[in-house]
Amino acid sequence: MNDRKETRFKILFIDDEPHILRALEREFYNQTAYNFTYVSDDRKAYNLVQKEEFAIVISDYLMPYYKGTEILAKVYEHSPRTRRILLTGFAEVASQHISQPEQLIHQYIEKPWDKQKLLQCLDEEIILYQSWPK
Amino acid sequence: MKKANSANPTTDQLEIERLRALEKATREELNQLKQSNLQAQQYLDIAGVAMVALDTNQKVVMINQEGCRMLGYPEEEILGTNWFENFLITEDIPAVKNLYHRLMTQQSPIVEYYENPIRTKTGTRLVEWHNSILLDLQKKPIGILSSGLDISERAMAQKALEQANKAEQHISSKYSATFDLAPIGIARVSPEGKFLESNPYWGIITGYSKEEILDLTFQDLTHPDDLEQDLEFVRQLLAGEIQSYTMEKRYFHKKGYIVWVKLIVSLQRKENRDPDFFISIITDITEKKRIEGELAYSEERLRTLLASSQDAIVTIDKDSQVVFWNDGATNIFGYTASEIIGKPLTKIIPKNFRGGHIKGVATVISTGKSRLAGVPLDLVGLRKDQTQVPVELSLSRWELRGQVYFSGIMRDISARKEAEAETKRLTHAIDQLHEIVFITDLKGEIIYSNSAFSKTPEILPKELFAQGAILSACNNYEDPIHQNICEALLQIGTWQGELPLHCHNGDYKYFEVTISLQESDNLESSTLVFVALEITMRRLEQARQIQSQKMESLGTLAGGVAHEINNPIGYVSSNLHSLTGYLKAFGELEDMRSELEEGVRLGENGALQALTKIDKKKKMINYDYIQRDIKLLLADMLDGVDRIKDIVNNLRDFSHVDTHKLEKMDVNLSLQKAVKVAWHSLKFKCAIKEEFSLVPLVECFPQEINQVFLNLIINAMHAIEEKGTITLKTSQIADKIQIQVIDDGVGIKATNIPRLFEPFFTTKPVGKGTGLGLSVSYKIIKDHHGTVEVTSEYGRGCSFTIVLPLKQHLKNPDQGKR
Repeated sequence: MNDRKETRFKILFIDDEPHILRALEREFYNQTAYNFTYVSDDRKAYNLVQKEEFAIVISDYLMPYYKGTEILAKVYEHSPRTRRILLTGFAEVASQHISQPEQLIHQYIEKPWDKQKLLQCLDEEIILYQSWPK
Repeated sequence: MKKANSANPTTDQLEIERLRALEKATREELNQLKQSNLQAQQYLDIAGVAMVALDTNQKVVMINQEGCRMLGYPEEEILGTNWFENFLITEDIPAVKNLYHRLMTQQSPIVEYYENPIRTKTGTRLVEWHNSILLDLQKKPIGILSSGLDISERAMAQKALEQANKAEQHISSKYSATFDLAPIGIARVSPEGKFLESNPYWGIITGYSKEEILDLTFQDLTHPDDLEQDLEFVRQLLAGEIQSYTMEKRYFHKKGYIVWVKLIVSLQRKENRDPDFFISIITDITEKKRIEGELAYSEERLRTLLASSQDAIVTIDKDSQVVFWNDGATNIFGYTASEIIGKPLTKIIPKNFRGGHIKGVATVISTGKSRLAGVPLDLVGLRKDQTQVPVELSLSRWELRGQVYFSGIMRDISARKEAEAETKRLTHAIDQLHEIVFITDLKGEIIYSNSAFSKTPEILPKELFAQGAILSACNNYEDPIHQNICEALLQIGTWQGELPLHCHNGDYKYFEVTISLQESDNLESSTLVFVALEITMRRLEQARQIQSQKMESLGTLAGGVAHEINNPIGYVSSNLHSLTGYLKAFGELEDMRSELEEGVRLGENGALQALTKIDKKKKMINYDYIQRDIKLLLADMLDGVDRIKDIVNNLRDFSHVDTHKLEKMDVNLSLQKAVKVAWHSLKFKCAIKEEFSLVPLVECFPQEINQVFLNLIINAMHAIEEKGTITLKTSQIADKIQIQVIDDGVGIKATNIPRLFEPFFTTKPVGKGTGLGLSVSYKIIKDHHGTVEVTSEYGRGCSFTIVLPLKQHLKNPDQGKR
């Protein structure tokens, strides 16, 4: 890894479905502004968020070992300024969580997603992330 | 008494003669006196004739023993009393007294003989009197001497005798038409009893002709029980003790039956007083005897009836005073006869009816007409304890010696009134029912039907009776339902099931029908009670309920399904965008291919330049990546589309309304399908363990059974809070299949187990289930003639066991049409 990459904002995608991750990867395959990480194993992701700080963590909800909200709770615990987004086909669950006062998740994106909206959402969240006091 | 002879005075000679004569006369007179004294004594002592002497003052101066016996008083009580006043009957007294006075004053000659009645101590006797006047020396009457013979019996026999004498006259004039035509039987009988002659009417009564009777004696014809008395009478008649006799006796008719006759017999004597023949007169009194017997019987019966009747029998006079009151009346009204006889009837009439009663009695007495007589009336009576009692009154009015009486028979109809009210209540209730209720005889004739019946009279299953009386038509039915009904009625007296009714518009109506046989003494008069409830709506509702419950269970899976569908759609749609990008890049490369061709034509330099440009482009579009990725991308998309297709197919399979055809189904496959539908909700929570045996196909309605499996799997899933295992087991037990769904979840509290299959019973939080899953599952399995059982240990999971028969023997061929 070179220095230039190090300075880019890190974004983590978590989904137990590799198909989803691959599709996302394709969306961003020539996108160089951010440093994307894709993890399909929810247990690995659960560990990763405790070791590394990401600007944004985007997680699926329903996964074999952890629910997306559980991982995002962990993210909040370790780096509260990390923006937490739920990417799910199960919109009701997400909307329940977003309305809770502790704001475990900042936003949710429904599957199937719209590429432009996704990108716009990421840009917005990066700004919010930057504006968060260190 | 002899009178003294007077002498004739003539000469001296004659004087001597006269003296001698006088002496002689005196002697003679003395002798005569002695003789007459003796005679008088004899007279007095002779029994059988009463002798009475009266003085001019009508007083008794002498009475003999027989006189005392006849009057019934001792001599001393009779002597000195006024004969006429004490012993004559009142009406006779003035006339006799007058006559006696004229007799004593010689104004009237003596009546030698007469009959008149006298009063004795024991009653009136008819006496035949012979009288002589007692004279003193101056020939002045000093009294009367009468001898009397009691002829009461003789007088009574007199009329008969007269008749007999008449008959005798008839007999003596043989050709008299009267003898032959007389409507009485007349016969001449020898002193020994032999019939000598008879008239035709005798023949009519006894059956014997003139000729036949000649060989017989009256003893032959007489009933043995009457013979003795008859013979006694005959003896008395022959002995001269009686002049005739009359008796009612029985003859044997020639044909053997008994004829009652009234018999009058008198005796005809010869010149020398020897018995000559009897004259016997008979009249047929059989009918009279019969009527007398019946009368006596009916009187006895009436008496018994009056006493023992449960009905009150009460008679009142014109003033409404009770004059008769039987035990039945006491039982009903509480008053004893002694308490109420002589009291007004109004005691047993409630106040508000008393006026009407009094008015009614008055009207009947004045007009002689009653609108109440002859018609039974329902009235209210008042008991002694002042409670009211409904009675039925039959009233009659009668008269006796100019007095009007009313007799009423009152029956306590409390029980009947109650029964009537009960019947009315029941009938009303039955008429309110939605259920059609009707009763027929065994031939299908309707005896009773309620109002619901009139809306659907075609519910009467005419085919049941098409063969005649239902119970004798068993084994003749083509339709298995009818056969089944008939057999059930014969064996257990009742049948219950569903009967479809084909409507004119081609639809079916469904009825749940119960038929029960009400057996009576003989099968002929037994009846069938039908109770039918239309369940068409219920059936439709049931089908709807099953369907809606299915949708509901699918609904609980909706989250999982949505997620499961949105995932592949998400990446397929994303990939399509990416693919578009890839194609655009390829398009640009394609464009460069013509530049390359141009460069090649220009020469080496040009080609190189173009290739460099292409390389640069390839780098820019990340050509290697695209080329590597494009196969994967397409594979991902196909995979995604397949998954969507799968999910949709599964759902469609489940949400389909059942085709309602019995099909052979593989239960193992069905369980796997159910798991697949629920998979999206199950997959991160429950491990599925399949312990399948190789089982035969089961005949069933597949959609319904799938639904049951899905319900049980969803239930098991909900019972598992975090992670757990659902075990699915199948096995064959004889001609049945056993399916078990076992989970290791929270289990079911023992108290809830009995309520598990109750509709709307749920322990799940609001929104997690309506509580219909298990009740619908239970219903489906029951319809398949299977069973569902549940065992559970709270906190340790639970196990549902379904047993299904391999084949469905549907009694109701229509069941599949639901």
